[in-house]
Amino acid sequence: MVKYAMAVDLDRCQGCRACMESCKVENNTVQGNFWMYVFRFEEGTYPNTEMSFLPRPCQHCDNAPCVKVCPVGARYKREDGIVLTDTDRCIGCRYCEVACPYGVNYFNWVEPKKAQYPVVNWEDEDLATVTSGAVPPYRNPDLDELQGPEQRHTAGGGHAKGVMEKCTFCVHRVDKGLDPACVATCPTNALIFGDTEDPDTPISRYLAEKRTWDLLEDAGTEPRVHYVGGSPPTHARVEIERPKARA
Amino acid sequence: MLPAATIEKYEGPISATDQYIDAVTLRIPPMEPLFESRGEIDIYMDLCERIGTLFGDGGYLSVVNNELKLTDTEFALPLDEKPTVRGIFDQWARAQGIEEGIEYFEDPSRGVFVKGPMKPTKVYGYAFDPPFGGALHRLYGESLLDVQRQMIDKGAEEAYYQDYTPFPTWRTPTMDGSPDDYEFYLISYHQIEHKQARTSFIPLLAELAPGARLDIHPEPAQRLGISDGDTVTVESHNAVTGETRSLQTTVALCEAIRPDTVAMPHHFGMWTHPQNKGQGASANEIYFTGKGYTANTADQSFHVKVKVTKGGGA
Amino acid sequence: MTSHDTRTRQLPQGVGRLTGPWWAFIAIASAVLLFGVYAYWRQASGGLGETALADTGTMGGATWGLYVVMVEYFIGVSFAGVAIAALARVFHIADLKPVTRIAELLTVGSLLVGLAAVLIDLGHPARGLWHLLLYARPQSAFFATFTLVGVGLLLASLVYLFLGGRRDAAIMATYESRLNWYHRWWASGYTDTGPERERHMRAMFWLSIGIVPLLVVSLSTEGLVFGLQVGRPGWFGSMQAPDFLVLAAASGVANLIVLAAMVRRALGKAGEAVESAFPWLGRILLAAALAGLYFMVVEMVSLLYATPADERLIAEALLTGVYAPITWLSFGLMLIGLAILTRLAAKRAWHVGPLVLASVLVSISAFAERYLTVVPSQTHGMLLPYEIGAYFPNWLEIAVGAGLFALGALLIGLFIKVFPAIPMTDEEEVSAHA
Repeated sequence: MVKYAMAVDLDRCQGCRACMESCKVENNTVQGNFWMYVFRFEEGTYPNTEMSFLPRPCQHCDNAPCVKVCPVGARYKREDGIVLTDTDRCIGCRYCEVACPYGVNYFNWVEPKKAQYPVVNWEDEDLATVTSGAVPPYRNPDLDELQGPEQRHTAGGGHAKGVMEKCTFCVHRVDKGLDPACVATCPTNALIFGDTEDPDTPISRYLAEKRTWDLLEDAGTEPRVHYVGGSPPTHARVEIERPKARA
Repeated sequence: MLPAATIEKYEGPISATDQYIDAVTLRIPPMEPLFESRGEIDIYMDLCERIGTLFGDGGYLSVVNNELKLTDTEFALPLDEKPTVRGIFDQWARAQGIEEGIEYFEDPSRGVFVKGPMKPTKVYGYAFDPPFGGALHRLYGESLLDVQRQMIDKGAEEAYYQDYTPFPTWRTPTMDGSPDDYEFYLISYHQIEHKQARTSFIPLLAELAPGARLDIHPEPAQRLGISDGDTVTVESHNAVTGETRSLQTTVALCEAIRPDTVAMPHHFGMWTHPQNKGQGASANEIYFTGKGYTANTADQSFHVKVKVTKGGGA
Repeated sequence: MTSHDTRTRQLPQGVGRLTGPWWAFIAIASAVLLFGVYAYWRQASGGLGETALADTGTMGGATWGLYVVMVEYFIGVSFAGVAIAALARVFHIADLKPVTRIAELLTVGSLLVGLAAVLIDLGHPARGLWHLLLYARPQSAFFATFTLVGVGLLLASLVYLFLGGRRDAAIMATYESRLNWYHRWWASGYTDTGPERERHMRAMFWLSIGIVPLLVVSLSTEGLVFGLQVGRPGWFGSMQAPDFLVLAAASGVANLIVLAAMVRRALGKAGEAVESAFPWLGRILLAAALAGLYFMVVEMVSLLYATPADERLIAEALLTGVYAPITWLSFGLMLIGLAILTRLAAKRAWHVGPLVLASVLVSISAFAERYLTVVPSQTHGMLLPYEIGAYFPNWLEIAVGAGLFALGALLIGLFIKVFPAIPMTDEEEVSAHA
């Protein structure tokens, strides 16, 4: 049985946030939603200051608090370890969001189409003659497919107003044997993804060689995202260079 | 009519040598130019045809023959017939000894035509015989000294020529001549999300790096009564002319910056695009060019000293 | 004993007589409700983005806000109503009998409003109802809100209200009125014969005993909605359940007192009967408010002394930071309310005026406490070092919230004009005139 996991090598991460952008483009998430988020921290006082980075995808916990609290089973864990949201079933109670210690859930507060990235007025008639009526953002057709053995509607973002969404480990790519978009994009190979049941995969070898730690180990969530290098974040770290949260 | 994007047109021949192996390639467009745009060669040929300079000796086609070294070969373009761009490069390819002509380059599995190893004389002779294609070799510093002498001869003031020195020399930076209340050095910097000023209207990038800010250490900020997110006026001073320039921006407290220095990103404030609304001003607005500041050599930094005051206006 | 003729003229307790002040009350409540409906329409069409709610973490907001506060508050209030009614029946406390129906009404009304608040808070309200039937997971603590609290308690109290009212309905059915069909339907064949009356009393007794554990279980799970969250500093802990119950008792009794006083006023002379309940309710409120204060102080002391690193941010926000005004308002109101109650108890004179004032203060304090449970753990309780968040309900949420209060008021206001708010005394007979 395949079990997916991700390793995040903080000694390699340079905080460029390319993973955040590739995630947004791949999954069509709306403004202000960062399924993959990279903290930029500043710690200490001048001249002994230090900058550090912390990529924060969904941790796909084995003991996931969000799965436990969902009243309708819209949030569930697949056998291969990926935690997903069935956007057809979610009732929008946001209990998963308050239950998650990592803050990875993003709700569709408004009609997703209205929260997408505006550039020009795509309804414009003159423009339509050039675009033949196609309205960006480009939408990956895979996102509307049913995924996995359960055949549930789980991939991608921006599906419907009033439902919860979060990182899917790019389930629509993983099911085809591809890496998640963030992993494929990372210019420093700080993100490593794969099957941990097979000892010969790059991630298995990586996790076997390196010392790893998990985010918020005390919460007992047993994440499937493991960190290498760096150190667990504390409140002594001040977050800097936050993105604009909400347009 | 506009020239097509680079990817939509033929271009070449392009050298693909690595200094050891001599190779050549062509840019083959994967698609027709979009809408009404066209490749330059098409545009030139139409233009020349219209004004009567396409055909015959000394016409456009004869120039193309010369440039591609086709003149007086069996592959020369006829001077009385308008070719296609693909046809031109096809003739050129055949002249290189490629039997299939341009199809060789159109095959994605090949694409690059390897001529073979470069002759040693060609590699090393490049440097020595004749050196620099016959140009005299000069020390960079010698050129600077020459410029300085020319400027003195033309009666320029010292402020202009002082930085054209053959060897790096120290002098007090111009900005240090500003009055003491201009207490901060202003530096501008690049954010990883943006490319110069040309990406700030891309919503995805502007979400990550949303706008201008003034990074300042908390210690001087506290002394000036400034807290994170405040609006401040940054005023720069030209120590040579006494001119001042100012802009307004918001404060980002930063523990990692030197307390005597403030910094601003330079990506914003250059466009009036609707997506750029509210991104704030560019640090470039309050730098100076000319006398004592930006010189051609760029060895004297263009930095200025600024004072920071709370609030807008002033 | 009144004659059959008089009964054709006037129903007791003002039932069926629509007075000026009543119309004014209904008009105001309807106006507030309508505005709330308008606000909700805006929310339903534009999405929850119309409210001040936002995602926790990078958006720096609270994803649960005023609506969830109202859910918790109203479900808490409902607890006291049915508990008081059960108390009066199990222990045969004659003095509390006159407020039993008001208490049941309060329970049904606040549960309806609380459940409406649950639906209003959902991103997909229609799916909420439908998918809970199809896919409900009892492992989720929220399941209790939807089912145990929602359907179970609501049905139980409706049955309780219905069965408990059959005798009065039978009496009312002996009057000639336009409402006669309704009272006959409610009486559903009950005629108050000796054995029937005995069966009625026994059924009510066992129902009263049975409903108490249901109450405690369902309301404890309501506290556990928060108490089970490991990842949310300020919530995790076994104290949430008892804390929820105690606050529920205090706010519920307080609201019952206010409602009883309003009924007393509205019914005039007929309403005097409820006065016998005030000393009882006052003492219960005093006890509940004392326990509530005890929990508040214990919480504050533990915040001040033994604060784990992750809870320090919340503690500071509560005691000296952005939430400090609400914290100290809640604490102060509870203290003043208690002072008034203590004075009344010492004098053994439960005047309605000061009692209602104390009740209102305790009720507001309990509401504020609920707010402080729900919100700060989201804005200041992120375990990862996100920037501190902020949340305050906007006009739309407040309008919808006021609409919910108005809905409850409207339901009760309508009820007292179709059915006696105070149970008939035993002397009133049915069969003689049937």
